[in-house]
Amino acid sequence: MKASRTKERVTWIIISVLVLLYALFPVVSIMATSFKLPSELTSGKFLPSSWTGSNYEQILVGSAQDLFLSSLRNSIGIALIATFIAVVLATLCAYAIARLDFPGKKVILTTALAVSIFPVISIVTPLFNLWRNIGLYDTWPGLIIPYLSLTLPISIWTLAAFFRQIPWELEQAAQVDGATTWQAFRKAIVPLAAPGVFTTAIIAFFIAWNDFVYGISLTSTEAARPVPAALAFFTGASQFESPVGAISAAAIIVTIPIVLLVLLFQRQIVSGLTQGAVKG
Amino acid sequence: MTAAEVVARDAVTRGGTERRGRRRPPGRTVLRLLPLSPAVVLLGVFLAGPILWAFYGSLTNAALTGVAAKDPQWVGLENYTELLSDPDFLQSLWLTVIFVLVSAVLGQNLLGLGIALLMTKASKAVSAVVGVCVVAAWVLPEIVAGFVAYAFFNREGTLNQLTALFGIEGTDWLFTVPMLAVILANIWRGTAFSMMVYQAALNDVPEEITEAAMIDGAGGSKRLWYITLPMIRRSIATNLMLITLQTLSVFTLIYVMTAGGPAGASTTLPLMAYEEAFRYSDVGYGTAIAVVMLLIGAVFSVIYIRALRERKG
Amino acid sequence: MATVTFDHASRLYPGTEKPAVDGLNLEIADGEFLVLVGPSGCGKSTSLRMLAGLEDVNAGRILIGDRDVTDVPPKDRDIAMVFQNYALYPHMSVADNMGFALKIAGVSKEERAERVREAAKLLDLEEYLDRKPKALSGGQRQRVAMGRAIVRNPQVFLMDEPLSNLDAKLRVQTRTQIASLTRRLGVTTVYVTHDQVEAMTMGDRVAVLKDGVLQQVDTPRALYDRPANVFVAGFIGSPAMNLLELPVTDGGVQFGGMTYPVPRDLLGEAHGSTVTLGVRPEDLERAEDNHGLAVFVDVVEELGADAYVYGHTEFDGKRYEITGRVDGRTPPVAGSTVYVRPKEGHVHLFDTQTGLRLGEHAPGTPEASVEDLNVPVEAGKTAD
Repeated sequence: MKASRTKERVTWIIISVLVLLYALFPVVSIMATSFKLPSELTSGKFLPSSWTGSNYEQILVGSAQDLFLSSLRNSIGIALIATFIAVVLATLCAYAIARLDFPGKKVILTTALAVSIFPVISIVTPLFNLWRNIGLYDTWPGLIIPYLSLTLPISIWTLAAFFRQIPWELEQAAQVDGATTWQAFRKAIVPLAAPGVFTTAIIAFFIAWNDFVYGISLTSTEAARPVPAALAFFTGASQFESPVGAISAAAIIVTIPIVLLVLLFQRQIVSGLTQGAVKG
Repeated sequence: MTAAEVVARDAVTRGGTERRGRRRPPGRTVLRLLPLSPAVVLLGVFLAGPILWAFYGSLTNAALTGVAAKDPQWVGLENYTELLSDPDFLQSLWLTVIFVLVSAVLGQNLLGLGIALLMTKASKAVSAVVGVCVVAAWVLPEIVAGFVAYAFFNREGTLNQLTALFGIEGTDWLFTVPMLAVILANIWRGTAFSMMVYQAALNDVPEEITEAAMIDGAGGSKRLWYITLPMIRRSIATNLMLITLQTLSVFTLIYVMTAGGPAGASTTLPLMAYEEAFRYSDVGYGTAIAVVMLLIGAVFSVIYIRALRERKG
Repeated sequence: MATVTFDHASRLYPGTEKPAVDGLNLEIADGEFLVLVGPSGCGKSTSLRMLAGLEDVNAGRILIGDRDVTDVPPKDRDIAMVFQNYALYPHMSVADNMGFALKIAGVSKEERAERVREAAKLLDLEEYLDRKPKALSGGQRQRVAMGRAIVRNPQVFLMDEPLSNLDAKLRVQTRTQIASLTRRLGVTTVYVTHDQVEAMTMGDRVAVLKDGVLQQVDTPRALYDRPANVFVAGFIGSPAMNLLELPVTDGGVQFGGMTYPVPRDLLGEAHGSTVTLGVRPEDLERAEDNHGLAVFVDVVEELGADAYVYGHTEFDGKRYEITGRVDGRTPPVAGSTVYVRPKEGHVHLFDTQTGLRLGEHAPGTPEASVEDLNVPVEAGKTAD
């Protein structure tokens, strides 16, 4: 058995490497592109013949600076705020759903999930009109609110699944031990709920961060334009020519922190999503 | 009283002495619904609202510019009947179904399952690295993913560089096989989700059961078919539902890669909705398409749920 | 039906220094019911899993019959296993659970149904054949797990603590059922448990393990009467044997104010200045004439027919805990002092440093008989 085990293991390692390549390859190619000179971009070579940081310069301190840095600021701010609000609201919602019994519980959950898949494209127009009328166009709240509608359904769903798993008797046990209701909640339940809330926050952040359609449609200046939308503007028209280098550099800058987040919190993210998917 | 206190009080008294009767004071239900309200209101106004407007809009001839923009007229189901006889729509419908079936149901699903199975066998270090890489592809903003895929498939792109190594000259894949390109790109991007779902589901299968199957004489593939897969059936259905719905509405990726072309060869429904609404300015028509998408999503969901329910119990 | 042999089998988990199973040598006869018993972590489950093929064997061999199965995958070993948590396939009915292995083996549907029915009859499961495991009680699930094993007609049955998850009453009931069933079927059975009562009542022979090393393998009677070392002595029998480390003096061991005589050649075998003396609670009797060991009674447990007396005695500044069994109808009172002495011929002596039984040259081999130690307690001197 030992001989065949080793052979098996080697096969799996080979397959893993292939998968790795498949997943990494495009990312690596973007990284390579970000270091290429504009002249090289269509040269057809994979790696740059001379590595240059000019693209990064351009977007961080150079001509594209306004566009990029402001969008970075917007993205971070808007995504964080939207995440915070979404998590707070979702926690309340999920708490009620997981613990209380009331008519229409299932309906609410299912509807929430169902509407969340409605193609964003089609909602944009009415929102666009509404925002123009009430002055939320091209503002941070103007994006935060739609982001909430993007993130709330999945956050509620995920958190509800998480909360359902918590043994609520711990609260009673703490009360029997002499804690007040609030103390029981804080000491017994919060530590258990914390991972779920944290994971939901991360997922919500991703969703808010990655949005493109709202970002493009509901903004018009650097005042509120988030990064994914800004990237589209790097191109100017729909010809992807020289700005590709700058775009690649911007993409790298935008992606690296996210990848790091994923690296650090992968286990939590997986369990968060799958709590909903597997057990929800 | 906070909701927590209400709940705690209920919990303690429920487990305590017998109460006289089960009379629910009317205030209780309202109280219980309170924590839900902010979220529900928000979703109601900013999500359901626009959706309802969209429904309504699809029954008008609303447009972005022109007479119909200022004063949309009710046209009833005219948009929908027009859709059904519009060959572009039918083609788009067909392309969408293909896109969803191949890239999600087959591609992401099977690949995700495969990778998850692989990770159960591989060492911790290997599976950690693979996991991160696959997930990284998923968390890339869709637009970046679109750029990457574009850079890969276009005439001067990386794919052709690779084939050049073998002496084959490639074409502009985005032009010649646009659907294939977007399908491959979507598989690359979205597999991570399925992988994660299956990873967790496989983890939940108790080791003992796999061992019992081993002792019962079942080798790897038999175990997979008779034991493992049936045990994660629920996850399979949930996963399929989620990735189908998500893939149905993929827009940015395709738009960046092919813009729906050439000549509509890769125009899935979301792209067509966008074009009708923004390019041709026929918002009513575009929205009708979106509604159709919703219906398709619902149909798929029902199929999945049915397929799951059948074998339960 | 076949014999089972562990030939210097060892299992060392990667990254650890101490083997989980260290050079296990065990020969199990055809049709024998052998119990592997020991405290948690002693390697009994690991040994069973090595036999099943679920654990790698890092050294030595495992044989089933004459066949070296050390590198054979579990599915080809022709064994059946009952797991502690039953490991029933949750998505299959009882009948499908029991018939799964046969299905894999390609047995025809009719024959499968027939064999499943037979086994179900044996285990009183006929009315549950269509149910799913989650609709069964713990005891029923346990029977299904057994049925799954029986249906296969394997060469060896492996059972990994199958009764641990049952409530006490059911455990006793099922214990006898398992024992009689396996006897009737005549299949070689290897049974793992941490409960020495199960071991003693069910096994033809019992193998005691500690820290991966086999301590003694023998019939329950022999283990009880002639434990090969201190560990076995203290593990087998409930309540545990009283084990007292006593200083060696001229002619015997110092026991309180008395000298308990021990033959010189046995004393000579011992290393160090002390010897461990063992006497079971049921082998202590009251000394009416108050010529015995004075025990201050702390707690009395009355169990109906018997009563167990837990007390202590002190001398030389050392405190010794003593447990004794008395007739349940006339138990002493807590707080009083009773005088006890060991029954003739029921004293065990062990080397304090090695733990081995004195007078024996290898564990499990009866040589010097206990009667040599049958020396009455010296009257006269009493303890304080």
